[in-house]
Amino acid sequence: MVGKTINIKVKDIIDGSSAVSSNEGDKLFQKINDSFLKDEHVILDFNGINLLISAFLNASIGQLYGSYETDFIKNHLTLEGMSNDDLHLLKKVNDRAKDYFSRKEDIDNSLNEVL
Amino acid sequence: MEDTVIYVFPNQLKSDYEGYSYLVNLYHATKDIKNKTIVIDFNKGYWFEANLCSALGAILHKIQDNNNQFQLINIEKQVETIFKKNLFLLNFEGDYAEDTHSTTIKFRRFDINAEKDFIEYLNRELLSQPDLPNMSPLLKKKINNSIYEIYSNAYTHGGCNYVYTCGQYYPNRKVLDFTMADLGTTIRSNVRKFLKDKTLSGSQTISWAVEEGNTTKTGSHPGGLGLSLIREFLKLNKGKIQIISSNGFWEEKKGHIFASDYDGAFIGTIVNMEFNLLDSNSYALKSEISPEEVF
Repeated sequence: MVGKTINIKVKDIIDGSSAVSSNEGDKLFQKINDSFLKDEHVILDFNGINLLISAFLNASIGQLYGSYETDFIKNHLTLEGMSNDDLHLLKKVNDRAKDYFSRKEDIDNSLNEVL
Repeated sequence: MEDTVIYVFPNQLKSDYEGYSYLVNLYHATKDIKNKTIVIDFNKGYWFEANLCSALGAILHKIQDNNNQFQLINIEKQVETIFKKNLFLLNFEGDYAEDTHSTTIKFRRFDINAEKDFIEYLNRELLSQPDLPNMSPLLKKKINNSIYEIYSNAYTHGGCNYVYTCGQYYPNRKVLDFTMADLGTTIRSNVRKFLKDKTLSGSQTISWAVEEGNTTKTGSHPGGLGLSLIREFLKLNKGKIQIISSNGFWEEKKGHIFASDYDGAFIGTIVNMEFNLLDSNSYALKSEISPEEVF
């Protein structure tokens, strides 16, 4: 059972309409992560965002896959106000993130075995 | 005269393998020189593609950082006018001129952390340029996204202090070239370290870096998408992307790849993207995707 719902406007976090920086992406990640840790449901509102690049999405959403299972993210995150084009971009980012963290886990495991 | 070093440019400098070789050589020839005057002789050349000012500007700043002075001589009148219009000369205590036909994207040096300034610059220089051909909103967005992806790469991988930018619209060919240069860690250095292979050449490391999924990142941010997204777009757009880093040159033009290595090496990375502004692709993806499907 997911806890209370939190609304996050991306525009407010990045203070503008261009979501292009990984630092700003990190800020958003922290916000989402704080809510996830409390088992809260996050509604992420992209209305008013004109530009969105993979670096921002890697930091803000892709990074979540390093700490949470796909099902948890699905159940705790709802997206609003994203164009179809940007949704396709985010799908690529998320697929890459899943692959990246699974490979990272393999590398970390083999390193641990060696050590 | 022994305190003066002269470097001569050819009579035309284009955004191609040969053109970049003169910039790489200029860096290579001057990198160890200190406390001298370096004279760059433009040889009255009639053609110098103005977007290359970003790479030239980066090299000139490096020359100054080494306590040298420089002089730019024998610049042909028309080339000089462009250098004034795009504010290149103004950045080196020279003169400037009004760009009445709005074909230049101004030369600038950005502090790597000044993202807001960069956003404002692109909005002003690119999005609001009245004399560029009418572009669909999605084409403009794709062009902007591509430029920001490269800026972000310089920030993430280059470890540099500044990014140098300059662009030029070529009305005859209806293309826009936008070039970014940095003096940060090269792709060769990053990839060699990541793959633990010191034998890889500059062009081999760039070829590796542009493949989807390949990234030298090891931290909490996934990566390896930015360059492949740009390549995908530029193939459809029939544009081109060129990357020069260390001694490597890599280019993809209308889907065809050419890669080679120079004898000399550039200290950082130069990326030039050429956008075809007469592109009539709609870029609207056929399939609708729901927000739930992206996870």
